[in-house]
Amino acid sequence: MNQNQPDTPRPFREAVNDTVQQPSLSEQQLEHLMALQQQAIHHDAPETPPPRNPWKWRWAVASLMVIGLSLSLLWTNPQDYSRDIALEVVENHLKLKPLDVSTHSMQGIQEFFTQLDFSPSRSSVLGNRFLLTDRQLLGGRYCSIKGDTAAQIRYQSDTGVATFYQVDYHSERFGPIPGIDKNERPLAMNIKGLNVSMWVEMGLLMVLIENP
Amino acid sequence: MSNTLLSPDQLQGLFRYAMVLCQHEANAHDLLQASLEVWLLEVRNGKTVLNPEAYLRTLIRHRFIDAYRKQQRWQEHSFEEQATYDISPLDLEQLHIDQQQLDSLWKTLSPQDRDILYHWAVLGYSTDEACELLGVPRGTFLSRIHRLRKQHRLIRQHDPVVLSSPGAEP
Repeated sequence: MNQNQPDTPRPFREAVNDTVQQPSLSEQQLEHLMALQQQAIHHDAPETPPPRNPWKWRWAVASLMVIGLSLSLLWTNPQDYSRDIALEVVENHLKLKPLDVSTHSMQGIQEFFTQLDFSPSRSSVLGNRFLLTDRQLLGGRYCSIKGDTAAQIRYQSDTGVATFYQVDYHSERFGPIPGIDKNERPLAMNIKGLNVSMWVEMGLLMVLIENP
Repeated sequence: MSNTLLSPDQLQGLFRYAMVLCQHEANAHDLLQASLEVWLLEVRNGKTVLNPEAYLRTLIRHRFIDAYRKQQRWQEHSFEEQATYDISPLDLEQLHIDQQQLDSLWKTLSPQDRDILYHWAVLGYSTDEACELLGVPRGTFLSRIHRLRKQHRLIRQHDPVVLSSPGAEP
C-alpha cells in the first residue's frame, strides 16, 4: 500500500506498482483457492460414477439413432460451404485486427497458439505455389471460421498483407474441399476483389487471402 | 502431480493481474478461479508447466479477451506508428505522478495499456519487451501514453513542459 503523501509527485513506476498492489483476495477467497488446489491433488483417481438410470439410457439410444439418421442423410448429400467460408475469412481479412503475436518464425506461431485443438503447420502449398516464406511472416491472431477457433497467420507479400487461415478440417462441417494430399488443386475464387485459395493439407483446412 | 501448488502470495499476485485487466473484483476472482481450474485439470492430465505463474497469467489474459472482446472493452483498432513522437521507454521512467492522480487515472486506461504498464512496473519488462510479449504495436501504446500525458499533464522530471515533440500532433 502506498505510504507516500497522495499529492506528492513520485516516479510513475512506483506509483503504478502501488496502484496494482492495492486490491487483495479476501481470506475466504484465498482459502477457497488453496482448497481447490488441494482437492486437485487428492482427486487424482477418477470419481465413482453415479448409479445409472435405465430410462436415461433408452432416451440416449433413441436420440443417438435420430442423430445418426440425420448425419447419414447429411453425409450422403454433403453441402458446399466453400463460398460461405471464403466470405467469412475475407471479412476477417478486410478488418485486419491487431495481431495477438508478432513473430517471424513458424516456431513462434506454434508456441503462441496453445489454445487450439491442432498445431498450426507449415504448408507446402504456401511456399511452393504462393511463394510465401517465414521471412515474410508478420505474426498471428486467434479468429474463428464457422464457429471453430482458427489461427490467422499474417504475411507481408509483394502485393500487400496476405492473411492465411488454418482450422481443424471436418468434412461434415466445412463440406468437400480439395485435398493436397489427394493431389487435388486448391479451390480458387475471387471475392470482393481479393484472391481466395482454399485447400486441405495435413488434416487442416487452409485458406489464403491476398491482393491480386 | 509433479507441479508445485501456488502459494497464497502467488494467488494474490495473479488476482491483482486479473484486476489490472478487468477492474472488477468479482470478475477478477472468476477469471482467476476459472484459469486455475483449467491449469489444475491440465496438471491432472499429466501436463507439466515450468512456470505456472506465467502460464496462469496467459490463461487469465486469454480468458479476459474472450469474455470481454464482445463487450468492446478490448481495443480492436491500432493507431498508426507515430515515429515523430518524442517518446521512448526512458521518458516513461522519468515521468512523475502523484498517487491520487494515478488512482483516478488507472481505471480510465484501456486494459491493454494497464497490461503493458503492469508488465513494465511490476514484472520488470521494458515497455518494448512488454509490447512484443503482448502483441501490441509499440506505436499504438506510445501514442496512447503520449495522449495520456497531454490530457493529464503528467510531470517529467527534467522537462516540466508537458509536450516535447514539436509539430507532432496527429
